Amino acid sequence: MSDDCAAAAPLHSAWLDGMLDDDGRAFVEAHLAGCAACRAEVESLGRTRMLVRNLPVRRLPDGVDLLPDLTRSGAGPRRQGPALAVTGGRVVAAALAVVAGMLGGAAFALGGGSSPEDRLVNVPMDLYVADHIVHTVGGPLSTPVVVDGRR
Amino acid sequence: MAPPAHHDDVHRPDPRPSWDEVAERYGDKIYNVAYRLTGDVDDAADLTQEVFVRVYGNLDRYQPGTFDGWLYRITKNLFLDQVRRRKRVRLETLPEEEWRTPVSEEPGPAELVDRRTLEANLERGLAELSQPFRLAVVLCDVEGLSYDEITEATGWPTGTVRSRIHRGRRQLRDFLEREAADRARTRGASGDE
Repeated sequence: MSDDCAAAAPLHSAWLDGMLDDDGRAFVEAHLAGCAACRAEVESLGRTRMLVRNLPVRRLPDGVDLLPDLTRSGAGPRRQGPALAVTGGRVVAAALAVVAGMLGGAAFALGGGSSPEDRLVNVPMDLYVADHIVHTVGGPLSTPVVVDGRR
Repeated sequence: MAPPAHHDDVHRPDPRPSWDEVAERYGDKIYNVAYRLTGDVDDAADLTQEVFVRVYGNLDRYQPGTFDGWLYRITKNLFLDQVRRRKRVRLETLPEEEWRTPVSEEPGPAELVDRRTLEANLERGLAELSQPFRLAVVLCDVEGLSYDEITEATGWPTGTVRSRIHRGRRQLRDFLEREAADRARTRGASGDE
């Protein structure tokens, strides 16, 4: 191996990857132009690179849980941050919905309202709230309290 | 909230992604890297889970920057932890009967066997590389990261990145050539009988 070969050889991969500066690239290309052995070396490295690049992409197998047993392990965000704002927002919305549902249920149970028409409307608030909770945080709402035997 | 930057635009600061975005966008990506690093389905799944548990626990501390680089750094650290913990990385590749059985008639059983054989050889070759060389080759050639991105993900100096990619490729090339020579010798010997 000539001195030039010894100097160019460590740069072969970086040349293939286009990661040499102008001087390095010019040096390697000038050497390759006159050295069949180094051209063969670069070609075989390029072929190897191509084979690795074409390896099939492995997909995450079904059933692999990315967050296993988090509640038991205690892992989790150290503090509630904006990154989890969507989840936090859902919790707040659900909590508000619970409160609204409870108040609404109690109001209807008490027959409250400012006019007779209000009392004629029979909204199954507990069902709506439960449905909302199921679709937002996955937990059902307990049945609104029974007051004086009436819902 | 805008999604995190892909490594193609790694230098553009990106906002902190939500957990759902992270899981959806990076699940397969990290698993693929983990599989190429460990060479084993179960180890790759374990490593992927560890990465995501770590990400989940630290997502609120992520500083807008290169999210991919942060993820790769976590993957690299946990991979090396896993290796240290187990004192070994499984070197075996797909069982013979698994890769010899074509899974489809297209593009043809013989070609599929060739592909599977080649993939199995590449997997064995990657597994034979020492960890730094394997990491360098996987990040560069499997994931397509630039040298700067690998520097960021690994913390290695640029010269080390360049050297490890080159030596890793060379060793892998030598392994494949030895395998091909062995196969040719075996075929020659069986032809002589």
